[in-house]
Amino acid sequence: MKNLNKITTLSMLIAVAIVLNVIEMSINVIPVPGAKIGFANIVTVIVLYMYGFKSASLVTILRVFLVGLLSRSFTIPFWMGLGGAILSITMMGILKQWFKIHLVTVSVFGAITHTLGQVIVGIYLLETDLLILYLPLMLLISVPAGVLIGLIAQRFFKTFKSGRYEQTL
Amino acid sequence: MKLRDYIIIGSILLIVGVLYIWVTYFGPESGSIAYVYQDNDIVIEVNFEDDSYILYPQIGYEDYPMPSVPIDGEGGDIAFIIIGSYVHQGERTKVYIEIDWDRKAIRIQKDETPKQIGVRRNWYDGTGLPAISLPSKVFIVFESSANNEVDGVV
Repeated sequence: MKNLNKITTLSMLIAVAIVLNVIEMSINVIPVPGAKIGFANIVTVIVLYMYGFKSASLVTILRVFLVGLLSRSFTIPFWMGLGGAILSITMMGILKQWFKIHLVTVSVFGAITHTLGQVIVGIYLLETDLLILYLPLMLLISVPAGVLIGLIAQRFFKTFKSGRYEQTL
Repeated sequence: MKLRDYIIIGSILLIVGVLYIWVTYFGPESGSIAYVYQDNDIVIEVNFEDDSYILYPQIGYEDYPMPSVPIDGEGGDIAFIIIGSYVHQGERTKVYIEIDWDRKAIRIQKDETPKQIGVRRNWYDGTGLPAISLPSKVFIVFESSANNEVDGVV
């Protein structure tokens, strides 16, 4: 029964992440290729702290693939997003597990590594280091974006304390 | 949040800010020749020293780059259509490249990819953020001299 509850919650959270991702894709507010606030990462951070690294990785990778399927777009931005997501969730998982830092700080590192992952994959696929020129601006955007996402996730936990969340807020 | 977290985030912001200023104001010097790449092949070479260009036919689409019309009132003097990598409704989408001789700049005038994710269409003179279309695999690089030995048509 507990497992069913977890599966249902994760399914709903994946749906929320997909909706957030699709909405954000249609509102291109930042004039930098591939750069967005990354509101779907709120769900990643929440799942990481609720259910741990495995579930958060599953939710994130599923979300990226499902959004790719929905938009029928498996081009460079998709692979950049996937690379960024994998690097980001790995970094956040390590930081949460081994370092006693705050959720917001973990989120900031997640946003930074997401950007780094995107640029690394982009450089590999485009076979040009041109994208490095975008890196400083993308990183500059990703720090406040990470803070914002962390604060929203923190707010979520303060509002809906589930009992499973044991980190110090 | 503890003081340590504020220090970590502040330090990251400081490092990234310095990096941004360094790249923006002390970044690589641009040349006078612009190369338009599509899928790692040069398709257009633009020389802003003598206002000339060389077109390199695209593999499988020998009619491209194809001359097009610049947008009125936006400074462009000449435009070309190239075929991008993105496939939409069974066909590869087109990318419109526009050149402004006075400004010594080049831009992606239009990109037919549906969602325009990862597309930057600003005028680019070799400084600042480059013009790029990730879905179409098109990007523009400025260099100081001709760097290729590909046969092309003028």
